Amino acid sequence: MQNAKKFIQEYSILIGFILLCILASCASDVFLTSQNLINILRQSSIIGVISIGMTFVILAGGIDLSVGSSLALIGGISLIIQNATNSVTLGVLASIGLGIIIGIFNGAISTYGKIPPFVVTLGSMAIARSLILYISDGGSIAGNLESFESFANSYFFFIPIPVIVFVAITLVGYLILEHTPFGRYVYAIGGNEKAARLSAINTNLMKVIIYAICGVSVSIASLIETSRLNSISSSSSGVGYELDAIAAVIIGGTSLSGGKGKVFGTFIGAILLAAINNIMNLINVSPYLQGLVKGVIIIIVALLQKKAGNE
Amino acid sequence: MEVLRGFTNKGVVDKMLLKLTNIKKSFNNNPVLKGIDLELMSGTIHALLGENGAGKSTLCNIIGGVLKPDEGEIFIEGKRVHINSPVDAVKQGISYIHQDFMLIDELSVMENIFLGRLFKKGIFIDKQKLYEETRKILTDIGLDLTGREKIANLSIAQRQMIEIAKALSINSKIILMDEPTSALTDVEIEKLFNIMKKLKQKGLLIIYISHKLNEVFSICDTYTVLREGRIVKNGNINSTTPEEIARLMVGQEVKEMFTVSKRNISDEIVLDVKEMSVARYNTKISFYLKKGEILGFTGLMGDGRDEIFETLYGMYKGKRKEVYINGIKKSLNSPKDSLSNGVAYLPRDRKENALFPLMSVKANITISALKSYSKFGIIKRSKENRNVREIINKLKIKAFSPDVEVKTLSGGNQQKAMIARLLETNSNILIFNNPTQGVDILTKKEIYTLISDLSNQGKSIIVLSGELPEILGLCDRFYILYKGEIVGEFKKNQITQDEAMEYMVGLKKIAMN
Repeated sequence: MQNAKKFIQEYSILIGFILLCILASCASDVFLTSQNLINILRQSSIIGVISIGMTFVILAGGIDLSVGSSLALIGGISLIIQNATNSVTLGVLASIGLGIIIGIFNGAISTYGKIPPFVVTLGSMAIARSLILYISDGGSIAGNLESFESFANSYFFFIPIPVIVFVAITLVGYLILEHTPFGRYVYAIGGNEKAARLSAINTNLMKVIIYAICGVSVSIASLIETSRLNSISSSSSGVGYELDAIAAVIIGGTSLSGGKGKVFGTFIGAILLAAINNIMNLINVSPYLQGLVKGVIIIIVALLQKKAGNE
Repeated sequence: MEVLRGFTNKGVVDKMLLKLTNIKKSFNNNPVLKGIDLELMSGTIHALLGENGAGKSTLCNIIGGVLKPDEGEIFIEGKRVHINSPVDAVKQGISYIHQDFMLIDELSVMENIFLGRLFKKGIFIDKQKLYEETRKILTDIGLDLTGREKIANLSIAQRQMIEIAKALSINSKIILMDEPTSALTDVEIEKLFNIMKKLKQKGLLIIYISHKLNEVFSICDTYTVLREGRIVKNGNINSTTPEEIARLMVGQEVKEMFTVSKRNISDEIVLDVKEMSVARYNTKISFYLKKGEILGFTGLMGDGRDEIFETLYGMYKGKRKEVYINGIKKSLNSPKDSLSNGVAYLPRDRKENALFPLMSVKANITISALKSYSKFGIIKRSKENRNVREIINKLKIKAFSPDVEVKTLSGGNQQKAMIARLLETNSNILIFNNPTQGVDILTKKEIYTLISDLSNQGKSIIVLSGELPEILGLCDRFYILYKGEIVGEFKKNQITQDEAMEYMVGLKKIAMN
C-alpha cells in the first residue's frame, strides 16, 4: 500500500501523461499515428531544451525569465555572423558564446550583487529583447546559408534532428545532475544555501555556472528555432518561452523553491505541454483555450505537490 | 464527570484542566504514540520528558492542534473538544510556544502580540488601545519594553517573553513550551521561571518540554516520562530523583557519560591562531591546539564563539587572521580552502546551517567529500555506497536505508549524519560547534565516546559548547570566552562548574598575553 502510494507520487507525471495519451487516442484516430507523435516531439524540442537548462536554475533555487528574449537575441546575432562570415561554425560558436555570456551576466549580478534572480533576469529579459529589436530595426533577420537551414529540417532514421538534440540534452542533464559532484551541489544549494557554503561548496561560482548552463541550453534552442525557417523575428521569436519552460519544469515535478526534482520529469513535462496543444488542435478546440488547459494543469500539479509535501 | 462552569483563571487551582484518553498516532504505519492517558490539573507546571523520538513533540502537536490524533479523546475542563487546527487550539485556550518562534520580525511587539486580533477604530488600527493593552501585559510579566519596539531588535530571551505575552493576551489556560530555555542565559532562565511561577499561581497549566533535568527539578511540580510512545511513569516531581528520571527515559541505567581513557596528547601544535580579530566586539584572540587534544571553547550566548570559528573556517572574506597549520602559515580563505588544509567545521544549529533536508542520508554524508569519490568528474556510486554503509554502521545511524530523505530521521540520527559528513572529509582538525544540540542522552554519550576515540586516533579536536558539564567532562583543556575575548584558560579538573560560571558571566578574568 505504502509502496504503491509512493510509486504513484514519484511517477505521477508519467502516469498523468499516459492517461492523457489514452484519452487522446480515444478522442482522435490521428493522435497515435507515428507521424503525429513525432510531430509532438518536434514541437516540444525547443521549449524542451530550454527547460532542461531551466531545471538546473530552479533546482538551485533560482529562476531565469530572460530565456525567451535571449533566444531571439542569440538567434539574430548568430545569423548576422553567419551571413558576414559565410561560416555556419562561427555562427554556432557565437551562439553558444553569447548564451554563456548572458548566463554569466545573470548569475554574477544575482549572486555577487545579491539581487533576487527574478529581478535580474526580468531586467536582462528587457535588455535582450530591446537589443535585438534595435539591431534588426524591429523586423526579421534572415540567414543566407542553406546548410544551416538543413540542420533543424533533416531527419536521422525518420526522427527529426531537433528531437535527437532534445533527447541528447536531456541525457547530458541527467548525467550531470545525477552522477557528478556538480549535480549534487545544485541540489544542495537549492535545499539549503547556507549549509552548502558551510559544506565547502563555492556557492557563488556554482550559481554563475548554473546560469551559464541555462544560457547554453537557450543557445541550442535558438539554433533549432533559427534553423527551421533560417530567420528570426525580433518581435515575436521566443515570446512567452520563459513561461512555457518554467511550466514544463514545474509540471515535471521540480519544486519552485528548489532542492527537489528530476530532469526526466522536465522531459515529460515539456512533451506533455506539446501534447496538450496537439490534442486540442486534433479535436478542434479553439486555440484560444489552450492557455486555459495549460494553466489548469500547472495549478493541479502544484496542488498535488503541496499535498505530497505535507505528508 | 463534573462540568466546571464559569471557570476563570484567577484563584482557581487544582481543578482538572486537561484530560487525554487513549491518544494514538502513527506516521506511515509507524506508531509514535501508542495510547496516552493523562490528567493534568490547573495551576501546575508539568514536565513532559523523554528521549528524542519518544513522542513528546507529537503529543504537544496534537494538543496544540498541529496534528490530529488517529484515536483518542481530549477533554478540557471535562468537556470533550475537537482540536483540528492551531486556531481551534487557541479558541480552547491553548497556546503552543514552539522552539522556533512564530513572530514576525518586521512588525512591532504590540502588533505581534495582538496579530489577527488588532483593535480597530473604523477601518483603522486603534494604536492607542493596542499600546495600552500591550503595556498592561508587558508589566504583568515584568518585561521592560515598549510595545512599539520592532521584534527584529529584541534578544532571543525577549522574544520568548513576547510569545508568553501573546499566550496571556488570548487568556490561555494551557501553555505548551517546547525547550524554551535552549537559547537563554542563566539570568534569563531565572526570569522566565519567575514568570512561569506567576502564571501557575493564576491557575494556568504549563506543559514544559526540556532535556535539562536540573531545570525540570527546579521549576516543575509534576512529570510524565514517555518512552517509545508510551507513558512509563508520572507523578510528583518531589517523589523522584534526576537519576530515576534519566533511567526511565533511557530504559537502562545511564552509566558515566564520559569514558575516561588514557589521553595521548603530543606537544606538537597543529593549529596556531594569532591575533584573529573579532569584528563584532572589536577584539583580538589567539589560541593553539595540540595534536590529539580535545580543546573546548565555552561562554554564554553572544560570547563570539560562532563568529570566531566561522572566521577561522573562511566564511567571511577579508577578515584579518594569522593561522599556522603544523607550523606553516595558511590563509584559509574559504571553507573549501580550510577543508583542503585539513580543517573541518560542523556548524551549530543543524537545520539552519548543515542539513539538506530534501537530500538523501547518503548525499548528506558525502557532500563535502565528493571529490574523493569521483573519477573523471563522475561519482563512483559503488564506492560511495560502500563507504556510506560503513560509516552508518560505525556511528549506528538509524535509517531505513541510506537513500531515504535525511529529514525522516530523528534529531539524534540527523546529528550523527552531520558528524559522519565531517569524518568523511578525512580532516585532521575537527571543529564541532554544539555537537550534542537537541539529541537524547544515549546519542549524547555516543557522540562523546566518538570524539574521545577520534582524538585517540590522532585527530585534533575543538568543541564549542555552552553546556558546562560537556566542556568540563570532555575537554583536555578549554578557554572561556566573554564578549569576544578569552578570559580564562583551564586544564581538565582545574576548576568547578561554579567557578567557570564566574568567568562566563564576566565576573572574573585572567589576563591573557
